[in-house]
Formats: sequence, C-alpha cells, structure tokens
Amino acid sequence: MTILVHAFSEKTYPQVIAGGKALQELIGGDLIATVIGHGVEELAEKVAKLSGSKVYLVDKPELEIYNPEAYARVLIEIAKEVGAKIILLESDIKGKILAGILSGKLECGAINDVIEFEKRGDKIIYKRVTYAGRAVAEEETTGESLVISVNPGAFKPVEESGGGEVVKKDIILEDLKVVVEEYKPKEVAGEMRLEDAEVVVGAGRGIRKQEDLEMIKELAKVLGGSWGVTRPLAADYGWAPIWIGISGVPIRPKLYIAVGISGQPQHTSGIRDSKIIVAINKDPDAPIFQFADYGIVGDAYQIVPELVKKLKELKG
Amino acid sequence: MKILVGIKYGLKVENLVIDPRSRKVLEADTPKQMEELSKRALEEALRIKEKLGGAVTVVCIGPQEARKIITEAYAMGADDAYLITPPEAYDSYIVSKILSAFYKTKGPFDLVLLGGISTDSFTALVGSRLSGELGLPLLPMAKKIEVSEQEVVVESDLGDGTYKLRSKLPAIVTVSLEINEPRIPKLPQILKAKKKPINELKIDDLGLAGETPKVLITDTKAYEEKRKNVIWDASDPSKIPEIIENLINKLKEEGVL
Repeated sequence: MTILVHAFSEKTYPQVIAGGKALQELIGGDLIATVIGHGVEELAEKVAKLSGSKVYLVDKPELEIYNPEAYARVLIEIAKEVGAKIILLESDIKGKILAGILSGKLECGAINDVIEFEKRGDKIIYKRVTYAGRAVAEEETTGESLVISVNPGAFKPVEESGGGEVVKKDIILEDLKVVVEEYKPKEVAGEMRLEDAEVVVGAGRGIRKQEDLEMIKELAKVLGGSWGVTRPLAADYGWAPIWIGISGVPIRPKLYIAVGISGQPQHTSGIRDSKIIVAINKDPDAPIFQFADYGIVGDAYQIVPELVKKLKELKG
Repeated sequence: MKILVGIKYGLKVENLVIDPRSRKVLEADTPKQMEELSKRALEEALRIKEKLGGAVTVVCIGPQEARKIITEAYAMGADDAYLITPPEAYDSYIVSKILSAFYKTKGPFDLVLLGGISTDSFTALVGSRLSGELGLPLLPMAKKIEVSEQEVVVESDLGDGTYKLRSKLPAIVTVSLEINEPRIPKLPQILKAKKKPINELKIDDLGLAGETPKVLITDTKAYEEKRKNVIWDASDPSKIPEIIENLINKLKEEGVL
C-alpha cells in the first residue's frame, strides 16, 4: 500500500509528512512525496531529506500558482504511476478542495481534517475535526482507495534524515478548463505572525473602528506578542489580511486575550490549544466566557488602556 | 440561464446539543437550518437570475423535516425544488453521486452553485467532488461572481491569497461566507411558498439503488472545554483597576506573564 503525500509550503511539509508516516506505521507500505510548482527544485531536495523517500517533482510555469484542476491532474497521474491507493494532503482550504476533486475523479472515499490515526483490531480509525471544530468524529472506510487531508498542527514535524531521492517528472497540462487569471498573495505583517506567537491579542466586533485596533496592537506590544482579528473584521471590513479561527489561522499561544469577541464556534475552535485564555467583553452572556480561564465583563475601551498602563508599570 | 443550487439541511453548530456524560453530539436534538453557505449560494443564484433571466432549481438531500428549508428557498425566489431522500448511511461520495445523477437527469444546467465549505461538517468536499465526477470546471470559494451567457469569473480567497478564476459554462461555483447577505423573505412570499409543491425523489429514481458510502462515521464526541471560568464584573468602571490587578496576579501565577 503506497501513500502519496503532498503539502503546499516548506513550513507544512514536515508536519504533513509526519501525518503520512503516522498512517504508514499502521498500514505499512511505501510513502512517496510530491512537490508541485515552479522553481521548487530546492524544496524537493529538502522534502526528500524530510521524507527519506522518493519525491516526485513536477516543476512547470503553469503550476507556479495553485490551480485545483491542474494539481489534481498531476497528483492523479503520479498516483497511477506509483500505484498509490492513498493520497494524503495538507488540510488547508486548497488541500480540502483538491481532496474533493481527486476523490470525485477516483470515485473513492474522502476524509478532510484528520488529526489522528488509530488501529483498532484490523480497522483503521480516522479521527477528524467536525462541527466547526467543536467535535471529533471517528470514521472508517470501506474501499481500498482513499483521499485524506491532515491537519498540519496535529502532527509533530519530522526532522531531515536524508536518504531520499528526487524524481523529475513532466506532465502535460493541455486544455485546462479553469484559468487562474490573477493571484494576489496575502502580505502578512511580521507583527501578525500568529501561529508561533507566545502571546496573542485578538480583536472582535466589539472594536468599533479600525483606528481602535491601535489599543489592541499596543496591548500586544507591551506583552511582546502578536495581534489578530476575528473573521468579520478581516473578511468583511478588510482590517487585516488573515483572521484567527479554524477557517483562518488556528493559534496555540501561552496567553490569548480576546477583546470584544463574542465567541463564535469557528473562532473558539481555533484558539482551543491556547494555554490561558482571557476574555474581555461587555456582554456577560457572550459565549467566549465559557471558553475563558479569566474574564472581565465590561467596556474594552476602558479596560484595555488600563491593562496596558498597569503592564507598562510592571515591566518598568 | 439554468441554475442548479444544492442546499444543505445543516446543524446550527452554535446550538450543538451534547450529551454531558458521554460527550456525544446529539444530532437529532440539535436545531437545524438552511446551512449558511448554501443559503448564500441560493441568494447568488437568484441575483444572477434577476440579471440574466432564467430559472433556479433547488435540490436538497435530506429527511422530510428538510421541507421547511425548501419552503424557505421558494420564499426567497426559487422556481423549482426537489427533496431527495438519501439512504440511511451516506457520505460525501453518496451526496455527490446523487447530485451528479440529478444533474444528468434534470439538466443540463449552465451553472451549479453550492456552499464552499459547510458551516457544520466543514469538509468542503461536495462541490469539489461533483466537479471531479462530472468533469466540470470548479471555481471554489467565490467571494465575488460575474457571469455572462458563456462564462464565469470569480474572485476567491484560498487562504494564501486572492485568486481570480475564469472558465466557460457550464461550471460549478462554490461560494464563501463573504459573497452576499441573503435576503429575508416577506410574509406574502412565505405564504405563497407554502403552497408550492415540493418534488420528491428517491435514490432508486436516480438509478443509485445499492450505492453504499465509502466512509462511515462511527462516533462523534464533542471537545470538553476545560477552562477555569473566573469572571469579574467590571460593568461599574470604578472596579476596573482592582480587577486588572487580580488578573495580572493570576496571569503571573499561571506563568504566562
């Protein structure tokens, strides 16, 4: 049984390969990785060291930017060539979409957002996050073929061990039905790098104007942390390119302070791995308080500046 | 323009009913609704119809209770609606099989609109599976759609950036939360919608008898939210300094300051 593994960035390959290896341990067989893109030879070399396996490299200008149809064709062709029955992807939105196209074409099962594999008797149990991150479902499969995507944060990244080998492969991509006409990458400011931050301050709809984010940023600064926003502030108002939450960036800081955030499931599921959660909200019934270790019911516009002042005194 | 919209009878995740002892999610007891993204797909279809003319056909795969969201779809402006009873156990494989059989039987359609990632199960599989199965172009997670008689252009946020995607029709477009704010039907529309017939189909009618799911859910357990829930009331602002001192002391004790 061969598992074909694909991730979308240098950062997530070690985690997604770790997910692939976790499954390989239970079912045996080979693991083969793919690197798809343009000018990604170096990445392929690195992935070979990480996986210690064969890495199929497909490097073409038309693959520089993610195109679900093109990427699906490449993966299907490689899976066929190496006889992979399982395709394992990274479960960001791009991977989830790809998992759908691949499983539709291959008429096989699909499971997105896997966080753990378990062997029970002769069955493999796939645990995945569901209900906007509020629950974990256990799933079993009936057929032999399967497409899954794994949640990168759920697997401990593998280290480079060497021993892999890059195999260059050309795949003809004619007659693509969908054309990517434009791609604007998100430019995320350094202060907003949320995944690895030890302290994060989050702002929600209780923050009424974009200028008022200044006090959120100031609180983050005095704590030596990063700041972020909820989905509506990013996606609807455009105050930030990314948002904290299971549909955006899940975070796992030591300290998370939620300011003016009501606590929608999408958000609270993305902050679950924080060590300590503090909530500041004027509504005592806001769901966020159920997810908080410490909460203050009151006006964020008075509480945050006072908190900044006291912390500054403390830090001298 | 013939538009097909799939709507999901989904769970209200914010009102998820959880058995406190076993942590099992009690789906049957959880309130349900027209899933938010599929509602936006319907809204977008109606806006396209208002601009270009044509008809909007709605299909829902679900139990008899789902009739209520079909009536809602009629009230919003759908022309024609089908309720399809799924087999007892079903997964994304069965759902996309049903939709593709429906597309072939009742179609062709110029455009298929679906939610990009359902707010309850969160898998993003159905629209993308359907495109794989039917071999139709997929334009996923649209936050903006422009359709003409021959082609469709969408703008999508796929996490790492914004993509502008173009394809010829027929095509499948899945939508994201930002695309629109769905209309709220008025009373006369609701009353009229209640009189509209709901077409019903069984999987046998679509030639899918005997199809079984590829993935089975065997258990679903909600996360336990283990937090301390120490809450201070600062609705009287004079208490703020004292409360902040308490908070800072606690954060020091926790070792996070």
